[in-house]
This record gives sequence, C-alpha cells and structure tokens, in this order.
Amino acid sequence: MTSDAKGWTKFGWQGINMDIPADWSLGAISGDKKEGYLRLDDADMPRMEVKWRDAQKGTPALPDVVQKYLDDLVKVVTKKKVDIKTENGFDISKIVRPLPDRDKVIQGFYWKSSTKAYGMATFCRECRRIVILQIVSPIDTDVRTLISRVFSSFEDHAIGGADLWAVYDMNFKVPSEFHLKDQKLMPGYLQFSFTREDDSFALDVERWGLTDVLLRELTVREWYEGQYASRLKGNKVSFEEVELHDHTCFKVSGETGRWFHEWRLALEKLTRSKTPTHMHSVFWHCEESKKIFVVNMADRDPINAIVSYVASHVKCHENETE
Amino acid sequence: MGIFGKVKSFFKKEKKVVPREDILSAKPIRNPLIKWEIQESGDVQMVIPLKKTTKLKILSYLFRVPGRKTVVLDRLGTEVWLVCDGETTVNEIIEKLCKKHKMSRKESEVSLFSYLQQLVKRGYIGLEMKGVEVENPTLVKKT
Repeated sequence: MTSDAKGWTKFGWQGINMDIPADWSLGAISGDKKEGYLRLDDADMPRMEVKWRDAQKGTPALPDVVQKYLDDLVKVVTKKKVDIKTENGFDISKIVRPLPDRDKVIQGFYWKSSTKAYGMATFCRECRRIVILQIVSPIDTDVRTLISRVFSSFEDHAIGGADLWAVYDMNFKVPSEFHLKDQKLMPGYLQFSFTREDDSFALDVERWGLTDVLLRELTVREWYEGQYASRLKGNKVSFEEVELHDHTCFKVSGETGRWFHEWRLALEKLTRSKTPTHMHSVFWHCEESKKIFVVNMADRDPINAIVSYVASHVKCHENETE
Repeated sequence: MGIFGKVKSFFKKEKKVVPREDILSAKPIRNPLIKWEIQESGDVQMVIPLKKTTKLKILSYLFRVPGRKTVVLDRLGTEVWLVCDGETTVNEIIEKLCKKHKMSRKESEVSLFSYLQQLVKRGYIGLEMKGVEVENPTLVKKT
C-alpha cells in the first residue's frame, strides 16, 4: 500500500507519475512510452485524463497544442448539442503551487460544460515529452486544493534512471531502458512484462492477491514451485533465502537445461530470436498486505542484478523499513 | 444505417443497465431451493436440482440422467455465499472483502460484481433488481 494518512497515493505509468487521491484508479490505457493515453476514474466518473507524446524537433508551441485539443473537444461536445466554454492560456499558477519542475514549459487551460476541467499542457526540455493533463470535476465542486497537489507533484520522466510504476496499490521501479511490453490487470493478479529495445528477454513483475486462499495449504515456496512448474521443469535451479522488505524472500537462479536447448542455440541465427540460458527470480509473501510478489527474468547472464534491483524497489507494505 | 438496420434496432430490446448505486445497495439472497452444507474443508457444497427441460427429458429416455448436480465453491466463493443472507448489502460485502483480503476497493468491486452476476445467471442467488449488468472482470479497459 502506498497511500498516506490523508487519502493520497502515488500513481506511476510510462514514466509519468504524480500524487492522486487514493480512491482514483486506472480506468483506461492505450499506447506506449512514446505516445499514449490514460484515464483515472473515481467511483462515480472519470476524473483525470493524460495524453503524452514525444516532441519532434525544436520547442513545440504549447498554445497551439492546447488550442487544437480544445477545438477537437468543442467539435465532439457540440455534436451532442451541449454548450461548452473554453479558455486557452488559463493562468494555472493561480491554483497550482508550486508549479512542476522549472525545466518545463507550461500552458494552462480550462473548460466548462456539464462538468468542468482544469488542465495543463507541458513540454519538458529534458525528456522532450509533450503531456496534456486535465482534471474533470462536477461544476459545483471546489477542486483547487486537489488540482494543486496533483499538478505540482507531476513528473513526466524518471528520476534516478528508474521509472515508477504505481497502480492498484502496487508500487515498484524498473530501470528506464525497459519498456512495457504487456500487462494483465485482473482482480487478484497484476502482471507487468518489460523488455529492452536491444533484446527480447522479458522482465516480469507480478503480484498475486488473496494469499490467505492461495497459501491455505501450501508454503509460499510450494506455491511457487507449483505455479511456475513449467518454467522450472528441466532447469537446474537453486533456491536461496534472503532478507528483503522485512520478509524472508526466495532468490531462484539456475541454468536452463532442456535437452533441445543446444539445438535452439544453434538455430538462433535462423530464427532471429535469442534463447535465454539462465533464469532468475525473487519471490516473497507479504503477510501485511496479503500479497505474493514475484520478479522473474530469463536471460543469458549467470548473474542478474536487475531482478534484485527491481525486487528491492517493490513497496510491498506500508511502513516497511527501507 | 440502412432500412434493415433500423428495423433490427427497432425490435432489439435495449439492455437495462442498473445504476451502480442500486447494485451496491442490493441485498443478495440465496435461492431457497438449493440445499447446501459446509464441508470439513470449510468449503460450501451445493446440491442444485436440474431443470427438467425437453432436452433433458429426451436424454433421460436414453441415459440415466441425474436430477441434480453438485457444486463445490472455493474459499472465496464460500465466503460470498455465506453472506448472501438477504441482510447484507453488496457494498457491505465489498467492504468485508477489502478488509479481510487487503484488496483495493476497485478489485473487490470488479471481482464481486462478476461473481454475483454468475450466481444470478445460474439462479443460485437473487438480487432486488433484475437485469444486473456488470462490467468485464478486468480492472482496466485498453482503448
């Protein structure tokens, strides 16, 4: 859990992160790190939308970016025969204190229809991302404090070389060179699959819920060996107990030893796919949060520091000692 | 839309989507026709009488067809089944799941809605409203 006592939590997706109210959750996603969209909803309505893309050469004219967005919005809304009032260049500094990082160009905007929204478009000179974000609220709600906190905490790129991924009370960091390839976001099970551009080896970060059901008659090691039996089968692996996050974790490492492995290596040039030769995994059961966390990677290195790094940057429960 | 599409849409029944608030305030209640008991393992076993459909009647001439089937719920299903007592609202069940299993509100809501929909469709429980529509059991839509 990553929410603080006042009902706020950290949100992170594709290098974008900010503080959000704890009752907001991811409602829609699309795209990738270069260009994409996400929406955050509360129990009643969509509350925040974020769109991003990498800028072309030079510094983009944010007033034009915002104007195009507002023009498109007006077209959609007026088709439904609803009135809308927009304001490009709204002075967002009246509400947001402090403004996000000074290395950004910021253009505020506002619109009002059956609901209202305050938004800002940003361009970061460091990561060259253009981001448009807006918070939607009912007309009669005062959201200035909320907007100030969300927008002032907004970051559009990794700090310290690792992207924060934080959704549905799961919070972890992955080195920025890894890109999200796939995700499964199901009740009771979250899986994030990452790869790097220069290879096809996947780094998987998983969270299993309902552990009082999963581990009713099993230890966490027995559960892991059953759940990942196909991955472990035929491989020479060793299990080592280590201390992490105030828990006893298991570090699994080994060599893939399937009989056809040699043939796959020989055929690699023809198949254009790299065959992993080693597997690495760290898993543990967090009793406080009733979750099992698993970080897996299969690659060519007998020693893998990435799995340990990612595992050490998973926040599995509140108040854990770092 | 062509004329055939218009005619089709005219006759097509619109699915009623029940407001979320109404679902949350609904009180699920077990079907009294279903016999159930808690096994030694702690899981609920239900004995469900089979509806005598025409197909079943025909099959029964050829084969020995049982008049009932047995369903064993898992631990979570058992928990939900036991609170479908006609007194506990869906919202209260969600809160219990959140607290007991340390699930987020959204996870609990999505999974419970989906599970209750299955139980309602099979006639195992009833709700105050009919035509309950619940969302896809995934947490997020990919646009």
